[in-house]
Amino acid sequence: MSDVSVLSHEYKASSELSRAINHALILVKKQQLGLLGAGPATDEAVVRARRDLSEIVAAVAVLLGAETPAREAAAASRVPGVLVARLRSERRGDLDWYLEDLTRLAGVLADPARAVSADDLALLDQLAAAADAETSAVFRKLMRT
Amino acid sequence: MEEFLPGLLRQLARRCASLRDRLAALPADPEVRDHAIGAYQAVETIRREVEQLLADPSLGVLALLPNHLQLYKRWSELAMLVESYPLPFVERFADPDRRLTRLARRLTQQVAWPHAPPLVAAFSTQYYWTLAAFDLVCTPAAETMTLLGLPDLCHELGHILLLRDEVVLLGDFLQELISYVDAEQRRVAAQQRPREYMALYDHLFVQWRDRWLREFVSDMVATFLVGPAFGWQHVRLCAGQSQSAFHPTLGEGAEHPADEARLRGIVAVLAVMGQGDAGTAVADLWQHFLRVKGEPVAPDYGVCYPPTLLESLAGRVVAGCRTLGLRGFDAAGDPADDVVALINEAWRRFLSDPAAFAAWESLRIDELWRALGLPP
Repeated sequence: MSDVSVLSHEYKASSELSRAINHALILVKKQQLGLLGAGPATDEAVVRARRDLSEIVAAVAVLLGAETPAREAAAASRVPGVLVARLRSERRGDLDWYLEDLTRLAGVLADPARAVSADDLALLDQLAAAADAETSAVFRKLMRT
Repeated sequence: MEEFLPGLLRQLARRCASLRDRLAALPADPEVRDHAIGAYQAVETIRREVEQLLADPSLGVLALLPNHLQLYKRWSELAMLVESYPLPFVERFADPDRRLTRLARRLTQQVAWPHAPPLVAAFSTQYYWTLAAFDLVCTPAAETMTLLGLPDLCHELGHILLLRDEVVLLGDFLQELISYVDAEQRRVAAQQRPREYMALYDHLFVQWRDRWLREFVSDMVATFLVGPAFGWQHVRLCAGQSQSAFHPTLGEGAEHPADEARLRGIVAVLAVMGQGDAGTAVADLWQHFLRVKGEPVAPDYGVCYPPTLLESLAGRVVAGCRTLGLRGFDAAGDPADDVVALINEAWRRFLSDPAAFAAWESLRIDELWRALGLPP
């Protein structure tokens, strides 16, 4: 009857997403700031990071965009439901615009030829912050049980 | 923060090194060695990642600071998990832990468990639980003295299996869950029920997706492995601890699904395995328990746990267990040398002759420890 078992699952899913977002976002930002060395390996790593971020952003958009919680299992399996609930609550006032931004951002990230703007990075930072907050919340629950 | 974060990272690297050294200094004990190595590798990986960031010239760049801080938090949390769970498990490994670990090893061997056996400790203050990522299971202190509660060990194994083999066990069940919630929301709209109901279904989906599904699957894996004994144990546990058999219902939150629905999940697995009679016997006792309890069914309860979802999930989990090569309880051997058979025999005797059970159980437990190379 302990909650530890299920919370440890939740924590793992949440922390993996948080780490994935940050690792990829750091690479993209470093490229923007000119902090990465040039070369095919670097280019490939950045393209991969952008693709990862694009998939995550698209998954969040799908989960938030549906009137119901989710219509695509593939997206649902990537993003914890509690994160979607948090974003839905935080963006209640401007959810439609937020969704438009996320959908556009997923497209930008998926296409290596398109530049990532400062607004795009800010949006990604907001998503990272939400994933971070959710992970911290689950971790605190796990350590309190 | 630009100066503060490197300081935090250095402290974390030191803490990881200290944990690593403590794990490395443990006396060689084959029972805990693999778990000590796993914990060692976890903290050493964190330490190296932290050192790598400390050596990165971009550390301190303002635009990257939030992301570096969040990575620090994840590393810090993981280190704290190792310190809080695997380290005390292996450092304070005592006689009851050894007994239950050997028992789990024997059990996993007999059911053809496809992963490393768990390390079990008997110092839980919160009944049974597992930290699946580290293959750790914790039980109450007196679990070495009874056979009736052991089916719950199989429930914790279910959590570990789900973490490792989710795709095999679930297939596209999530799609089915989504379709169900979609259909319910359309029904709510068609019936012009209050708009607030939509949000309740959103919440229902999140609970199923993030929490309840894991509990249902773990119950079902346990039922596949240990059979009706898990159902009997569920009733026993509810008789001793359950607050309400119908909680949570729509709009309520809980890490675990309702006990009544869990019972139906267990019965569904028995039915899929062709053991409907055993399921009926468990369900009969459960119904009797509910009547004695006299608890009314909560409003909107039925929509939270539809039989179609539970039955579909049961079918998927049984098929997944078979795909993974696990042995079902229906293929268990002789109670004299098979743990699953012994547990079911214990439950059969407990139910048929409770007065004589204690003496019988005491003898079997002594035999069990002797068979595992431990003094009674």
